[in-house]
Amino acid sequence: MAEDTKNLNQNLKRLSEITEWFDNQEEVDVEEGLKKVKEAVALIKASKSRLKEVENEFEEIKKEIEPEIEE
Amino acid sequence: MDNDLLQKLKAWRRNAANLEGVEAFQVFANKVLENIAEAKPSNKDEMMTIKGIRDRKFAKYGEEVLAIVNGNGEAPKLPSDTGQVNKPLSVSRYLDFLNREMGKLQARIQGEISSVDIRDRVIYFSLKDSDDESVINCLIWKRDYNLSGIEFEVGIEVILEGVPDIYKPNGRLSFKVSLVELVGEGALKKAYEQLKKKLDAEGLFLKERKRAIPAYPQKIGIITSIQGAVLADFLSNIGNYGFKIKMIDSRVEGQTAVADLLLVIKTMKKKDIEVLVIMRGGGSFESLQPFNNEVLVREIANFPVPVIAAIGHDKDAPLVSMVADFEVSTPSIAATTLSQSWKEATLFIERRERQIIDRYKQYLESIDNSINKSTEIVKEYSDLVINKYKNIKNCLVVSMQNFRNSLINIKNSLNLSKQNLFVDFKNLLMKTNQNLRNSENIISANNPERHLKLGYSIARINNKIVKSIEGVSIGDNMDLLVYNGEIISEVKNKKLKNK
Repeated sequence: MAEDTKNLNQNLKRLSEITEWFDNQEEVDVEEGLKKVKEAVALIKASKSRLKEVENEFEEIKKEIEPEIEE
Repeated sequence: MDNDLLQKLKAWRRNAANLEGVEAFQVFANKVLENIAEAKPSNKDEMMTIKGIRDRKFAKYGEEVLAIVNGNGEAPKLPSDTGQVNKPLSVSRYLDFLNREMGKLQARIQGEISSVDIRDRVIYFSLKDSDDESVINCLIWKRDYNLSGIEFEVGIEVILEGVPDIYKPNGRLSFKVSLVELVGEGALKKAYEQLKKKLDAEGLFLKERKRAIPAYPQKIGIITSIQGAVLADFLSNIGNYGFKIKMIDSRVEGQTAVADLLLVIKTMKKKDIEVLVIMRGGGSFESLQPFNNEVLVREIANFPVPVIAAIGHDKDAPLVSMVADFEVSTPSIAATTLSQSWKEATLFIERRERQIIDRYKQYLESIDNSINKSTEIVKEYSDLVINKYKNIKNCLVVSMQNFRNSLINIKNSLNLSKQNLFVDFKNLLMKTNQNLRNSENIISANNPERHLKLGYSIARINNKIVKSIEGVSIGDNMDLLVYNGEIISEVKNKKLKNK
């Protein structure tokens, strides 16, 4: 899997986890919350920059007629 | 490099490999064929200089290859042993020559299968003319047979593609088949239904087997025909998310498409992709036959990454579409399927951003509130304490003040008492003095002597002081006391004062 795709995937997953953490907190831990917010902001920034328009790469590959095995 | 020659060499190699029942590369590797097409050797010496050709290979294939190179575009020429023009050919060499020449006579023939003999590596069968019962012996290599996806049985009508070939050990001529297709929509439909049932029984179409199309895919493999609008349609809908698209052109129609598609899939398997898209524009049931090929269907089912099939079809979905992990009807939908998660990611991030920040804000607010509340409570209590203290202090101050005032009062009153006492006494004294003096004055004023001196006198009759005319009778002796003695007189008259 491509590196930045993996990162995006992980970033979004982590964001979900953070959201869930906030949802599940009964006692408010502001210090921990601030840490999570900081982390989330960094993730959001990175993810947004990945989602900006990036030109696609197109490559036409030739099929292998027969296996390339030298004698 | 001479491409025509290369293609001829490849066709020959395929033939030779089939004859021997070996893989094509075991005859000559691609590189060797390319070297031959490049160098175009005209004799043994020239050919032996080509890398990859040694004595053994030359002995086996040398003449045939030289014939192809030299006879490129020329009329067939009988081989002859060097120098000896009239020397007859051996049977073997003549058959080699015939096979080589007949190898150029590729044909498509139609008929009905009249006998089948399935062996390990080859299937021998005969094809009968439907009109006049003419028969031709045929053979097909097991590999090509399996690839055809058709089960041979007596009576089915087929179209065969191949070349004539004489089997040297018995001189028997056979039509060597490379492609088979069923004739007639009914037969196709029947084969389709049979295969569908079989694959279904194996569970190949089960939902549980389907793999999810990965989220945020980036490396995409595409198999389609470069001709036609399919690819353009796909590319114009995929959006710019930095996709790395690897595309391999393939035939998608006719029976040769199967072999082509299989080769392409084999190549694609080695590529670093996350998802494969196999596409073809819409077509009739008949034209979509390659996508009902069993071997191809199994390749798709076992492809290492998830496969999206975008094969336009009418009623009967091609089996490739059914076995694919995700089936869509058009290339543009295939494209939007792949870009969907990317599009959604933007919304997803914005939503998460809002949720997290809002939630944290709520945290802070709730903490702010509870701090305020606590502060108020503390303030309330402290106010209470301070007020009590103030009250007590005030009470104390008042008490002290009162006490002090009392003291001062007492002191004042004491002082006053003292003063009064003194003044009273003084006054008393003064008054007494005054009284005394008054008394003295009175006494002095009332002293008769003083009066006598002033001229007054005291009249007495018979020692009684005369104050009025009553009691006084004429002739009475009246004694007058004056300052310095006594005068004895006689009353001659008396009269009342006129009022």
